[in-house]
Amino acid sequence: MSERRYDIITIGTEKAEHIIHEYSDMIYRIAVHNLKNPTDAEDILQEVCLALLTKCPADRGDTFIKHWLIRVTINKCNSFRRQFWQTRRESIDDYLHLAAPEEQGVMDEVLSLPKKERNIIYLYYYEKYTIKEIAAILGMNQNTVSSSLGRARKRLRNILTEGGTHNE
Amino acid sequence: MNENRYTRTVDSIKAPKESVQKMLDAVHSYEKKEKIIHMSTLKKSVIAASLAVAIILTAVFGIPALSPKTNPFTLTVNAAEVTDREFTAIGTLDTIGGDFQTTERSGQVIYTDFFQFNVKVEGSDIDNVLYTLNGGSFGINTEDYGYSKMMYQSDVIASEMEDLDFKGFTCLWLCADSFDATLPEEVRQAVRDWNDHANYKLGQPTLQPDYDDSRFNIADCKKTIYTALLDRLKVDVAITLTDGKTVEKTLVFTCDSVEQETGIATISAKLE
Repeated sequence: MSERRYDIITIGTEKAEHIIHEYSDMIYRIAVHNLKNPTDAEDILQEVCLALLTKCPADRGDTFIKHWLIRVTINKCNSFRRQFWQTRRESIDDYLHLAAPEEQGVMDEVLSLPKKERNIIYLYYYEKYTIKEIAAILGMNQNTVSSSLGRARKRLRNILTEGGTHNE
Repeated sequence: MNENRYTRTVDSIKAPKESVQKMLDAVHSYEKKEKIIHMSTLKKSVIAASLAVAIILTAVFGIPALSPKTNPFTLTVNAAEVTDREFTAIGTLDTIGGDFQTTERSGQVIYTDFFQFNVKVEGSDIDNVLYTLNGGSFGINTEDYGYSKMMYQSDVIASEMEDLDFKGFTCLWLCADSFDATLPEEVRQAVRDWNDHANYKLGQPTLQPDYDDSRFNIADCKKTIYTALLDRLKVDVAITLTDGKTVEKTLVFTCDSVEQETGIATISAKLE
């Protein structure tokens, strides 16, 4: 009987470099939204890089890879937080240096939201994904995404003015 | 929401250049391993299947005993061969603990932890391997695709994973609920005590008004909780051979011991 082997085709060096240049800011932003700590977010960058090299399918397009990176980053952040004694109670001031001074109030409010809502706000308003796309990326029900987005908007409404347009 | 202010704010958050350079350095130094995937075998019949469930922290690689094989296959967990003769150490857990969710009003505490094990079945006459999880509350996190899915008891893993990388990284997600009457009271009490120990360490109010941290012992607490969680976990392994016969085994786990000083737990597994 023949023995069957299973091996992996991993992403190439050139493609990995392109992905890092293209998406490192996105990974970092997602990590900051989840962990509220720039040092931890830097650790996540390295972990996602390792996952990119060892686990990212090589034969997929840019859209898939971006969605894959988003999911892996969020999962890495969740794993990071599960190391209980690394859960910190640092002041929000610790990351305020990340934002332009005039926008500090915005990050204060966004980062005070529950983690799930922060991710949805980021994907909806910054990455410009639709609710349907966000549901697919995060593996959530569309109604759940919609209601989480609604709740987040309600919490932010008193602080920020509604504005801009977005495709649903 | 004034998205312009938000997007301007997020725009100003950039990955530090040193971190990006570190990532690029890692890419350059990474040894590319180019191998071949046999595409025809990526569908349902996953042989030598990976339920990649890898232990996060320290792994102990057992050396398989040189004994006559009574099974037409070899099952390994974290590269340690697991047999039906005795429990085999498959690794250690030195994480301090998972997440606690608490409901202050009712006093409910839910402890969630992630145990990751690499389970692999190999053999030259194997046609198919099917894994079924039973017992307890658990889930699977397939990290390769950043895909998180809760799977409950009796779910069949292989068919759920057919669209994923066969070496899909999976993680068993176990929960202990202080309100769960199927758990012995000592386990539920251990969950409450561990949660309050964490609160105490963080200088936060404890849920139990009479909690006394001087009586808390992390090794005993972890042993109680891990033993209960792992005793619930059973993985049914159904191996179909090329001659049509099926061999069925159940993979069971236990927490052997927890070191007093370090809190490191040794986990073992056995086939039944």
